[in-house]
Order: sequence, then C-alpha cells, then structure tokens
Amino acid sequence: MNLRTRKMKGNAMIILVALAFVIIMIPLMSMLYMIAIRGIGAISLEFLTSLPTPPGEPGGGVGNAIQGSLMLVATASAISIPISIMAAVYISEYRGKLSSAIELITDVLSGTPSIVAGVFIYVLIIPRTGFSALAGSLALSVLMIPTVTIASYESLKAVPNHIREAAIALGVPKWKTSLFVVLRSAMIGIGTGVILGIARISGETAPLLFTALGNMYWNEGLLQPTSALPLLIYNYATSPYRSWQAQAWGAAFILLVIVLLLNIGVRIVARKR
Amino acid sequence: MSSEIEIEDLNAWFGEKHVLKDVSMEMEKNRITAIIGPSGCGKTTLIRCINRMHETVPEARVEGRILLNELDVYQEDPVSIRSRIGMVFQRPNPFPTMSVSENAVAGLKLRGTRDRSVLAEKAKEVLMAVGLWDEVRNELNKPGTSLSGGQQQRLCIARALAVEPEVILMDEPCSALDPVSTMRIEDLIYRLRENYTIIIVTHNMQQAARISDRTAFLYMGELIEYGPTKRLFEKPENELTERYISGRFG
Amino acid sequence: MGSREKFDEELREIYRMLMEMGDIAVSSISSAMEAVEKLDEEKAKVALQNNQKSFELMRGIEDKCTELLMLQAPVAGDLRRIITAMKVSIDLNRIVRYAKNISTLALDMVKEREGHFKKLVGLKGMKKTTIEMIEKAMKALFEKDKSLALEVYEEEKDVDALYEQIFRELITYMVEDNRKITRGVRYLLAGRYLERIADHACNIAEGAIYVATGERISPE
Repeated sequence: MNLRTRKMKGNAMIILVALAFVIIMIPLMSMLYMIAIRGIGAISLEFLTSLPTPPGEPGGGVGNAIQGSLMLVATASAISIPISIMAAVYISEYRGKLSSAIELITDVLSGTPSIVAGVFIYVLIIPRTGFSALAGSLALSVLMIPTVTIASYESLKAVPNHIREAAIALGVPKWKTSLFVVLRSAMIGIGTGVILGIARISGETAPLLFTALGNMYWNEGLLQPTSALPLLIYNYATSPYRSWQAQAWGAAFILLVIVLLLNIGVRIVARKR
Repeated sequence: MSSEIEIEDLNAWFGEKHVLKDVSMEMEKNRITAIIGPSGCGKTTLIRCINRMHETVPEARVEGRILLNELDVYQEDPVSIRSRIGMVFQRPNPFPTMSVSENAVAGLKLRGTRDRSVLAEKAKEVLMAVGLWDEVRNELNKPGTSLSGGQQQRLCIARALAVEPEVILMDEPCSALDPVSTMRIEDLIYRLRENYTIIIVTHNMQQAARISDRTAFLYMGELIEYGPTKRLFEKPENELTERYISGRFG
Repeated sequence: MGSREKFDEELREIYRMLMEMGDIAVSSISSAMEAVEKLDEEKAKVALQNNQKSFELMRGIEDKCTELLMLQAPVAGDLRRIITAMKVSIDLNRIVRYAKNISTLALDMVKEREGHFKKLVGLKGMKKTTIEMIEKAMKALFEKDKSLALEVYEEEKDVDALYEQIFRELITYMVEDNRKITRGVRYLLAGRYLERIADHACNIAEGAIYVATGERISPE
C-alpha cells in the first residue's frame, strides 16, 4: 500500500468519526436548545420560590418541588453514602466471604430499571406508612447505592498496595489503615462517585411516582408525601393546561442546570487528582 | 533499645510454592545484616516473615519460629510486633494525602497519639535523625510526595523511626534511587546501627559489602551461606556463593 | 562479549603475563649464575636485558589489575587472584633484579681476569633450590595447590642452611689469605642475593595459598 492510499484511508476515517460525532450531537444540542428556549422564559424569582397555582390561574411556581427534590436527594445521600462506602471498604479491603456476593448484587442492582426500585419500595413500605418523602428517599437509595459502591470500590482498588503496606508495617491496625489511610487516599474518586450518584438520582421520576407521590404545598416533613422536580415535570407536562406545560419546561430547565452543575463539579474534583 | 532476632527452621509458602526452606539464622543486636541472593530467592519473604507482613498476603503461610529477644513473634499480636519491628520498602511510599511532617509521625498519630506538641517534637526529632530536617524545615506542610526520591525514602525511614522500633527491616531501600541518594541512605543506615538492629535486603552486592556486618546468601529459598561480610566477600565457603557474588551465575 | 567474559579474559591475560615473568625470572637466575660459574660475559648480559622486560610486564600487570579493580569491583576468588597477581609480579620483578645484581658480580669477576679459587658447589646448590622454589611456587599459584606451596617454605630452610655454610667457608678462606677477600666477598654477595630470591619465592608461595584458600600464612 502506498502513501497516497494510506492518506486517503486516514482521511476517510477522520470524516467517518466526525460524522458520528455530529450525529450524536444533533439530538443532544436540539434538546438543550429546546429546553433552554422554552424554559428560560418561565424562570423568575416567583417561579423559583412560590407554590404552584391551580390550573388556569396565572403565576405560581415550583418552589415546593425544588425544596422536595433537595430534601429527597439529601436524605437519599445520607442513607446511601455511608452504606456504599462501608460496603466498598468491605469488598476491597477485607475480601471476606460475603464480598463476592456483595459485588455481584451491586452489579445486578446497578442495572435495575429505576421503576423496579420504585415498585419495590411501594410494595415493601407504602402499605405500612403511606406515601412519604422517606419512602421516596429509600427508593432513590436503591438506585444510588450501587453507583456509589462501584465508584468507591474502583477508587479503593486504585489505591496502590504499598500505601496499605506502609501503614500496616507501622503497626497500625487494619481497620485504622482502611479508614484513615486507604479511604483517605481514595477520597477524590469516592467524591466523584458520590456526585455522579447524586446527579443520577436527582433526575429520577419513576421511583418517586409510587413513593413520594407529589404534593401541591410546602413539604412539612420526611413522613409526608412530597413534591419533586421530576415529578412536577411529569405531572405538568402530561396535563392539558398550557400554563402548566410552560412551567414544566421551566422546571426541566432548572433540573438540567442542576445536573450540569453537578457534572462540572465532578470534573473540578477529578482534576485535583 | 535494640534487639536481636533469632530464626529457627523457618518455612514459608505462597499457596503451593515453597519459598523459604528451613532457614535458621541469628541477627545480632546493633549490627547490620545484609541478605543477598538472586531475584525470587526468598530474601524479601524472609524479612516479611520477621514483622509478620508475609501473612497479610492471601494464601501465604509460615511455619517455624522467630524470636525477638527470646519472645516468639508468632505468639504475639502482629500489630504490636510491627510497631517493634519497623520496615522500609523498596519504593519510597510516603502517604500521598499527608504532608511531610504528618508523614514523619503518621505511625504515632494512627496508633493514637493526639498531643500536637508531642507529634511536632517527634517529627523534628526523626527528621533530624535522618538528616532531612535542614532540607525540609520550610516545606513541612507540603505533601510528602513532593520531595525528591531520595528525600522521600529518608522520610519513610523517619516515619519508621518515629514508632520507636527495636529492629528495622529494609527491603532494597536504594534500588529506586540515584547514586548520590543511595550513598546518603547508606551513610544513614550505618549511623542507625548504633541504636537499632538492621536487616537489609539488597540486590547490590557492593552495597551489602559496604555497609553490612554480616551477610546471608539465599538461593532458591535456602540459606546457603551466612557469615561476617568481609569473610564472605573475600573467601566464601560455598561454591554457589562464590559464583553468585562474582557474577558468574547461571 | 559480556562484561564477565571480558573480565575472565583480562584475568587470564594477567596470569599469562605473570607466567612469562616467572619464566624470565628463572632464566635470569640461571644465566646469571652460569655467567658467574663460567665467567661468561654474554650470559651476564642476558640477565641484564631481562630486567627491562620484567619491569614492563610488572607495570602492565599493575595497569590491568587497577583497571579490573576499578571497573569490575571483583570479590571472592577474583579479588584474591587480582591482589595476588599484583603482589607476585612485584616479587618476580625483585627476583629478576637480584639476578641482575648477580650478573653485575659476574661482569666484575670477568674484568678481574682471574679464575675461581674454589669449586662453587654451595652456590650451585642454592641456585638449583631457588629455581625449584620459584617453579613450585608458580605451579602452586596456577594450580591452587596449597601443599605444593608449603613445600616451598621447607626448601627455603635448605637455602638458608646452604648460605650459612658458604658464609662460614668463605670467612675461613678470607682469614687464611687476604688476597681472596675481593673474590670471596663477591661469592658471598651472590649467595646473599640467592638467599633473598628464595625469600621472594616464599612470598609467591604465600600468594598461592591466599588464592587457593583465602588464608594468609604468616612468615616465620
């Protein structure tokens, strides 16, 4: 093969790759464009801070959905992060008899459709307590735990073994080595995993449908049904009312910005490495 | 305080692989014992048995006795044994998340010392002991990994000293360093001999000849010859030893 | 060629040179003594020429050994062979110089135009034994034979005894007849040089034992 045909082949490949890139970017950019164009118009201070109004009435906002989303995500994180990190430490550092089982379960769970998580909590908890923010958080935890566990496990595995040996050889007990040396060394990776986990659950709708249910008022506690941005978007977007549909675009825009910020956060954290 | 080590009929395995075979030897107090031998001869395993690091590897197994001042190491709590028998590794491995001074006293801190003035004082003491204080006194808060390779290794030696061990094991401590850093570490090791019993594994026969008092030659898991360094390098008794140290192996 | 093979090659070359020095030493002694016995000027000159050759070989060995020590950091048997090669080359060079001294004595005697006033039985005996000692010591060195090297020490006692004998005999001659003093002193010096040569042969034997076993024999 001579130089010319090789060059031509190379150029052809570059064109193909560029084409693939454009094909991927078209839907993404058009989605972002559409949400931004339709959503930005709805954004105002009132929109961010006030309660929804009944259909047809002007004004109103999604303040309670933002509050609810924050509450759900915070509670789910409070449940998931410690469990996930401890599980990851167990699999990576202790390699006990259960560790391969945990690894397998985590892998299966991470592939679970989110609606299944919702149904699971719905069946398990709702009959006893009724719809609540807590139930919603639990459903989100079912989704978050595998994500954070896998990310934490991977970053613990990436801690070089000589770091563990250095601590052990100083006469530091194993558990202290795991918590104060290995875990600390893996913190950046774990932090990245946590943010990705949060980003994932903040957009989830399906598990909340059966658990948090939704609410038109300010959320008053973990044991009450609560609203959330994805829920609100789902309800408003499927409603026949124009004003609600417009507000759904606004809420979608807010959600998009939050997820985008979280992803940027991941990049900043990861760059520190 | 420094202690002597006595090894009796030590056998060690990795799974099915028998890596140390009936090794018996004594390491004298306040002396430097060098362990030499070709790669895979079991020299690193030998010292890792002494501070019970060998058993931290899955499938690893040990039989036989190791006495630290007549105290059977294998009857004691490994954590406390490891604080009495320090170790320095092949590659400098300061904790990447800790500063220079935190690294120096990491052992103490992780083992429960909280008093900041005690820790700061100890950090200075051990950094001085390894000749690093003047070089890093203005960089105590920088990450330990920001130092040069030779400095990192001295930091690791300081870290081992801070726990106040009686014996220090060194696993090819200079193999990742340049010649000048190597010489500094060798001088340091020689000075440490006054207060510690030192056992050093080395690939570098000239290094063993330069700094050690006694040298052991290990081959395929067996202790072939052990004696005063000068004697071993001038007139080895065993043909294998002779061939190995004069570079006519295999 | 690997560096170890080069090292072995160099070490072999050093010992080849050492063997050549040994041959030169032996032939120097025998021609010097023949010059004395037969008052032969030509033979005396052979030993004089050997001196320069021996010196050059010694320097060559020194250079090669220095290079090996510097570049290869030899240990164990290698180290012992190199150290010993340097020392033995110095001994052999000394021996050649003593042979040269004997040749000078022969030349002086030739100039005196006088025959021997006695048969040189004792000196002949000393020559024979010293040559044998050098040959044995060199053989012991090459064959790493300790017992052969120890024989050299035994023979040194014979040389000493012969020298003692010559000494007393010549004193008697010189006391009886003071015209014999000049020649008598020359015989005595030749004996003295041979006795020194035997001493150096013992040093070579000592080196042979060191190469063979690493032991250092102390001279008695």
